Amino acid sequence: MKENYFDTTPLIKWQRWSWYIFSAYFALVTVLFVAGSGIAETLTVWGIVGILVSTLLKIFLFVIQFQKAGLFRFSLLSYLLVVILLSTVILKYWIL
Amino acid sequence: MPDLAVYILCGLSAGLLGGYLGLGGGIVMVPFLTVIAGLDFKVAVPVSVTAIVFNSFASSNEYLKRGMVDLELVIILAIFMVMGNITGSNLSQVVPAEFSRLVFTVLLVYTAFSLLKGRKTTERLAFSDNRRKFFTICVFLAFFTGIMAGLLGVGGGVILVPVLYLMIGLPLTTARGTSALMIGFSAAASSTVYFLNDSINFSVVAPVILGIIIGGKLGGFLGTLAKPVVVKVMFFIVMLYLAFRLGYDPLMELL
Repeated sequence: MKENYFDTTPLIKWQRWSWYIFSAYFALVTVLFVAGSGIAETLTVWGIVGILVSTLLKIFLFVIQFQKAGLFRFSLLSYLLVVILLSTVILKYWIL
Repeated sequence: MPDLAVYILCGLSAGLLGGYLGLGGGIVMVPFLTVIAGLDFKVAVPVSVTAIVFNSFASSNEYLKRGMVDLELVIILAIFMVMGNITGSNLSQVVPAEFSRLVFTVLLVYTAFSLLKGRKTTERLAFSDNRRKFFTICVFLAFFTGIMAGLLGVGGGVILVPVLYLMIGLPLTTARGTSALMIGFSAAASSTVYFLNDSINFSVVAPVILGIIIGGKLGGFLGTLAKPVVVKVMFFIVMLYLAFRLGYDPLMELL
């Protein structure tokens, strides 16, 4: 019988690749800052957005893995965490 | 150009301390950016939390690989910590910088002395689970840590790890791993608030992150060369100096 458990491998891979990509990205942006390029600041903005989106997607990996492990209550709590994180954006752009 | 070098140095110091001594980056980054780089405290905090989100990708992965993270606890406490972070980050718009600087100074002095004293490395053999017993107080402490972290630009590990270790009863390494993963989510909440309020200085973030990358790698390498006592004493002196410079002006104004 196959046992259900929280598989951390996708989470580890996601974090590792995020780190590699953003390391290279911000190294490049710093070089552009040194070179005095005007695009460097815009690229930093998108880099920060990328880091935040990557963190959000990390929580969706939690949702998937909790569901696979049969821990549905925790997958719902993970959704709640997403909602709380997004609430600042929703409040800023759609409500306030 | 000289500014960029100073920002890289700030990130490098934070990465070095994190990689070598296992301390979070914020406790070094904020005073460095304020005292050494001469940035305003309210400019340093958003830069620090953004760099912490990035740093958490690497710091929590080591613990995940070794199975030293309590994932259920991460989700439950992160919910309350994130709410605290959002509150703290919004509070920073109204709380005077002098007050935040004074609170940070206290935190810095506390961290410097705990660093010098060192933690007991005795690991529990039996797993004692007090999460139901201390649930309410842990939730409150997670929320409080979130407020402080959002306000001061730190991760919050200095409060979280003792809570998870002493109250919940997790083994010390699992407490550190659980805290490292939670900090990634909570710092992301703070960073989002600061980003939406246009409080992040973009020209500082990139070099600081680059510094963290180099510092983290150097910290790992240094671990094989230098004696921990030498580095600890060195950072103790630096942290006390930073605490003095950070807290002196607000304290004089208060007196």
